[in-house]
Amino acid sequence: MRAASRPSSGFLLILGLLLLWEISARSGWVDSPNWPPLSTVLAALGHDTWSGELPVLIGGTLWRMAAGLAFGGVAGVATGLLFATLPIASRLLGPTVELIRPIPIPAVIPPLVLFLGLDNTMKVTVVALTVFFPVLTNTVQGVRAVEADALAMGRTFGIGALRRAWNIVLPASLPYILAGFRVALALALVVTVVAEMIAGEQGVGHYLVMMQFAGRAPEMYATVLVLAVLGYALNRGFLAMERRTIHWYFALGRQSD
Amino acid sequence: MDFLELDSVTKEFPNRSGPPARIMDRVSLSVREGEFMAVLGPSGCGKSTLLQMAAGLLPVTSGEVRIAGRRVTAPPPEAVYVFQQYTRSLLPWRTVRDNVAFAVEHRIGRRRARDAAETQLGQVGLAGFGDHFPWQLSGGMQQRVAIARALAAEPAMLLMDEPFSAVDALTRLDLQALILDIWTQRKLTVMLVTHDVDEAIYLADRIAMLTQHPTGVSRMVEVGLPRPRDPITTREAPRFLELRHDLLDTLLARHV
Repeated sequence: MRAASRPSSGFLLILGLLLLWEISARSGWVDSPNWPPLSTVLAALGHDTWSGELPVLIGGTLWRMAAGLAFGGVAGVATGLLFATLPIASRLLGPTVELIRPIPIPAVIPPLVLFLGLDNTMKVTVVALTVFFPVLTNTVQGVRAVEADALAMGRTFGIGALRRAWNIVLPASLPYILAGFRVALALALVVTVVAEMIAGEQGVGHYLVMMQFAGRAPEMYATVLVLAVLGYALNRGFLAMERRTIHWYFALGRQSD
Repeated sequence: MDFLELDSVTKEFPNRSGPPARIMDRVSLSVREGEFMAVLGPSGCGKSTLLQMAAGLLPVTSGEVRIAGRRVTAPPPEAVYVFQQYTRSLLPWRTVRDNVAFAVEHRIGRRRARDAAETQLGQVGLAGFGDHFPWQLSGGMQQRVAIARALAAEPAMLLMDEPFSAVDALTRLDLQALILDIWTQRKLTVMLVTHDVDEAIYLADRIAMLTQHPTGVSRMVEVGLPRPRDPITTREAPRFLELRHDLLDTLLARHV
């Protein structure tokens, strides 16, 4: 019962805040052309959606984000497997990784623009870089956490190294890898939008900046709302996918509680 | 004929400061074909290390391990290792059926491996549990899954590392009876490591007693109890009690 009442009271608070927004703009508490009432923002949102403008922009943004996730994710898992299985690889490449990791990703956008231009290639690369590091770190952790007994079990049945990697190491480290992807997903949306805001004329990020320049506050807020919902939906979708893929991991967690 | 031979096997582990630690010094031991041998010793005496070397899972520093007359350098197809911790060796993302099939699917394909798995599950009393996940079963049932998986590979020999130490006392009696049945039916050779004196006497034809630091075989005891053995009356036989007294005496004297 308590678990059921908590999200609904949280939901009520959101409704309250949205209502406060509407009233504060309509009643003149906040008297500014940059603070349109929520209803105006929703109208702008409806208009931009029916006109097809916003869906196309969102589609482009999501596509770039997904491409970056795919490239960065595959590279992160592959490098992680390499680091965890070949000590020499982590000794050789580890320091470089540690040096690059702390760089705030938006800082590499200006130099990347010089090499890759303003369009998709640059943005997908930036997102891939963002995704690479958390996925790499978690993959290494995951592979190290694989039970030695499970690996020895594979050997006693004469199962070769590649098959052991695919059938034992990869599934066993999947909970860690997916946790890395969950972090990466949130970062990827942020970085995609930031990259669009900084460079080029693509996607939701660019539209947001344009609406700000044009002084079209309702459209600007509508875009922010869309991004909020998008981020929320992506995370919820990911969690649902995770629960299905590694249901056994959640079941084991419940047992040890 | 000897099926498994350990020929002056020595094991050293690298030591960070100083020379490598020699934990096993020229151990020689052989298990005859069809024999049930128990290896008995206190915790930490190197029983598992010995068993892993016999299984080809751990390299020897010097000396030689032979199974069916051939030198062991990698896990041989004739022998399968059964792990103490079934929770670690069973794969939680696979159903019980697919866990058992895992032992052979790389050789005979997934479909035939699943059929084989069903047969083996029936043998260990788990018919109908194929669709469960291991973590949905009790500890004793999980160890049965591990045994079914070992049997699916159709080995001539089982190398068992304290396979019943993680289950409760009654379940242990069940599993001991199961393993004796399987051993008899399939004419297997078994080497079972344990620290439980009663278990060693009840199951084995011969008992190898180990010493510590470095590990060596201190005594080789012929059990000499008739078969088939009975979980209640065998444990009351004068020979059982005599052996129990004798072996515990040795174990405790070395331990104090």
